[in-house]
Amino acid sequence: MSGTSPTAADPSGAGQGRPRPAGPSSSGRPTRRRGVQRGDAAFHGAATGAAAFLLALMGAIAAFLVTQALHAITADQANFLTSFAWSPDEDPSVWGVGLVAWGTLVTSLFALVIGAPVAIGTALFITQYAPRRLAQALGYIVDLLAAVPSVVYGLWGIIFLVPHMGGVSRLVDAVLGWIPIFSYDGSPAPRSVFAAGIVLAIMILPIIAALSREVFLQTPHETQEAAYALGATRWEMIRLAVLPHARSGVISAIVLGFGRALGETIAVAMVLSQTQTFFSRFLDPGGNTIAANIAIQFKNAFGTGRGALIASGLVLFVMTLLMNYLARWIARRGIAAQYRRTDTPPPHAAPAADTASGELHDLLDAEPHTTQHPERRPSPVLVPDTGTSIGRRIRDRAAQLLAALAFVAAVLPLASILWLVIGNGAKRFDGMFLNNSMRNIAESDPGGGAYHAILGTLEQAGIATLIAVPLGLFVAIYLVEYGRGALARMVTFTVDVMMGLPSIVAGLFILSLWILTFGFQDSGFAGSLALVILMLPMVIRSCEEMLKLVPDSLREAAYALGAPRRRTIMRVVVPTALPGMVTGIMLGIARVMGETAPVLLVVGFTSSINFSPFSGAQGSLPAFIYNEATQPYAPAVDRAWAGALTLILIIMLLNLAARLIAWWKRPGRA
Amino acid sequence: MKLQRFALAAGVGLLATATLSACGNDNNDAGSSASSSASGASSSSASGVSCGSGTLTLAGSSAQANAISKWTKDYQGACSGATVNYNPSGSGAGVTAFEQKQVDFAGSDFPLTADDQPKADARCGSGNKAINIPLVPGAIAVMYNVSGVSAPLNLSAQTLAKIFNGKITTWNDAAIKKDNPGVKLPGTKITTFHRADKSGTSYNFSNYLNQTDPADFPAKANKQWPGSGGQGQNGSSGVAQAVKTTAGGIGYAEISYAKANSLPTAKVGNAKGQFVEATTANASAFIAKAKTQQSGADLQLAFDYGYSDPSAYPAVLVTYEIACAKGNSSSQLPLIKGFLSYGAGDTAQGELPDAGYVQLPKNIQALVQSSVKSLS
Repeated sequence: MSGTSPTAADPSGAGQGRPRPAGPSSSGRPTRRRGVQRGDAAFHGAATGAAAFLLALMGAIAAFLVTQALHAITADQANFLTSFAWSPDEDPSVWGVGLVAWGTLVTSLFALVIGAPVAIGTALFITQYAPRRLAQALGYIVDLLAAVPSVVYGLWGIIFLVPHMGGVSRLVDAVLGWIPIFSYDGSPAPRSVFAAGIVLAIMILPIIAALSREVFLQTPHETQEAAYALGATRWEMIRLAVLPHARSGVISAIVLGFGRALGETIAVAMVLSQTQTFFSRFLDPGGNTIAANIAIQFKNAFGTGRGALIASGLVLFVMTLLMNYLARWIARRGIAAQYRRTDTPPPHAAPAADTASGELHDLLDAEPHTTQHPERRPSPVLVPDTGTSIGRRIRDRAAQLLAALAFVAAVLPLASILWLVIGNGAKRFDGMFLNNSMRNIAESDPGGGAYHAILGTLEQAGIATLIAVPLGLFVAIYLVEYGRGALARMVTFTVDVMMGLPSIVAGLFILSLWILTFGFQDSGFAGSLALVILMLPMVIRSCEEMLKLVPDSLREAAYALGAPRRRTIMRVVVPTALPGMVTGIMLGIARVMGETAPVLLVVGFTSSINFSPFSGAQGSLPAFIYNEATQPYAPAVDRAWAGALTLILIIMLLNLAARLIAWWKRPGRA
Repeated sequence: MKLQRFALAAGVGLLATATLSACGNDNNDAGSSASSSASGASSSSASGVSCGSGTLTLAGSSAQANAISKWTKDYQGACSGATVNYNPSGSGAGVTAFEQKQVDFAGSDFPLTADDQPKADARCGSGNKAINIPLVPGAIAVMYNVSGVSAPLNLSAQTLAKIFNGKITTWNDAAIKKDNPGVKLPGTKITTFHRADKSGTSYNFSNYLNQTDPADFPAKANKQWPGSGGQGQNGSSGVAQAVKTTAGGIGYAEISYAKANSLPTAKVGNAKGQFVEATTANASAFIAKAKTQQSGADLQLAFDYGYSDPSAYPAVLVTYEIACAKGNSSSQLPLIKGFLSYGAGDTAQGELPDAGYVQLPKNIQALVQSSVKSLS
């Protein structure tokens, strides 16, 4: 590898042509040089080893899940891809993913059709219309939606949304009822595909909005100014300059949101009425999705049933993967077209190119781009009003109104969810709740607290971080500083694959391998392992993006001073990228902390405080909320709400900390 | 410099965690209203609680989780060295965990199947058997949401079968009127809710309908709800929540869910067409007539749906504990026997009605106690 010329750029884009130190002849004393070389080799080995480990891990996951699934597929008496039945544990075993795959596609499509326009409007409002000072705060408010754990969306769906779905469905029926799929039978409070689609739309909205916002901010100011100079109104400028530039980025954002909707588990399981028969009238109650089916059927699945659920998880995984690739393909095609037009070679860190794959970074870390011109945004203020026809002005105003409405539509559900959580959670959110466990409290008793669950969640997320961050950092270093050729391409591919791994599949993997095959007990550590699988791709992506942004001139300067490679990376490159990486990592932690489905499968259950994540069952906040929320007793339900409030507060604090770090470290801060 | 700041931040985080670890409180006795006689007992002889020490790890049926949570509180209160962790992960997951030696015993809505029996036996060591012990019975209430009707509605097995098969679609249907002479019923559309997940509740409720009125409910009892039509909901809480938020809704769940959601429950028809109120005492009277199938320490109940009495509620269920008859680890045996015999005792059984369950009838309780005593 060392023979590669430093300037030979890898066409795959996986390993960029980073400067590397000059050959051995230019270095100092021979003895020291040998030590330096050994150190460099060891460091290179560690980075390559981390990358190889990632490949092995993903290979193990795939191989293991396929073996488990094959067992159930061979036992299946029906066609496992097309059958609508789900009775894998019966004799004869008859099951197929046809119905649940159909439902997964349809609910996600609803989410997309509802969520995407609102998200794009919101992003336009924030980047183009909102007062500059307000824009960042508004962006933060929308991002808050991403911090709400899915179990809370589920609770909101049942308690607030479903009782109002009757009226909404009647309205849709009145307008679109002539299309059979939109006719409504008048069931009160329908738990329909439509209702699940709305909940999913709200869940994917922040992702699409944040990614689109980033892409909109990338519009070259020159183009915007040129549009204004030609007398364009603000809307015309958006239509002529911003939207064409952002098209491919926005499309890939939408497809990524779609992928997220496909894998959502708990919220859909709570909101949608499950049916075992084909459904095509989406306003009427009834439907099913792959992920919800796994969550619901897993509790009482035996050998073949578990295998069948894993097989359906694999189908979901493949669907999600296809979506991710579609997004990347669209983004790449868009970039290629763009640069064909302008005859400029794409720069390696072209932000739009990274949008598809670098979701986390783009989603979470706006600052490095936005702050490049913190005080500049072209505005049409200087354009004289004369000569702008009334029709154009009306269109301009209408666009502004629509964008503002989209923003309101995005913020309203958030307000409603927070209102519900704070209103219900405040009842039990007290010192006792934070400081006591549930030991010796029966579910029907008042009192008790979530201390054991908070502790468990912090420890599990902490251990996951301790494993995922060093591993992820080394993989990122490998990709940016060393990666070349087939291995690098495979690692990049693997990270993409892991990005699309539905969280319940990660839980199933740890359960099947760690607990059922290796025979370990349920423990907090098993939960950490599941979270590591979910966190790794986020950490790798955000570190990779940040390392790529470190200017090559810094590396060259270090090499020119005779610093060996390892030292350059650890002392110059990593510290420079650190603030951005910390932000990305903390947001990754916040994301996995709210994960319910995988944790529910592997950490066990206890009401007592267990400090040790390695032995015995340990509490966990999402599992605590889920368990208390399904109890018949009022005191338990109050505890569930207080738990939801606690979890949101913890995640918000982490988000806030991440943003503070980003703000504190942003270039240009006085 | 920057690395140092990062280290500082990490240090602060660790410190915060450490502070948190230092102040947690596992002792909830002062705050809670522990009133059972067992929680005051400190020695192993008082109240007949036989204490073991260590951690008892259990998993299984979520239907019996609240009974176990009450008994856990009593048992831990009486035996300071004991911790009981019951994971309400579901019967399937519980039995799998038992077979994998993950748990000391499992809770299940059904006795072991023929498929699982050999795997469960193997877990107990060569030549030993895994057994079923019925411990927590329950009543399945039919909850409804019909406005303008104050007294509990009468619903015969025939009417229920037709409602849950989608043959009766409005509340003022002639069949419902016939069950409720003189009651003014609205023309609201009926929306039925059943469990989407497999459950003992679905199995036993479909068994009641199928056994009492096979003509109108021909589908055999099944863990996966076998009726046609209606909407599936996840868990009993999902069903109760759905009925509560849906005008014209009807569903079945353990009686505690109906009470907690303040939903009215129907008087359900038995084989002779008498209407019986859903109370825990009525359910216990019906369970008392169940046929017991005993083989060694193994004990299974088969309800007699032909038994008709105006004070015997026929829609009932019973959940089992699945344990090793012999071959339990010597360190865990005192805990296993201690906890199970507490559960089979008068104090624990006496608490069940308050928690929304049904007390074991005396005749069956005696069999259960001797079963537990024989564990080794």
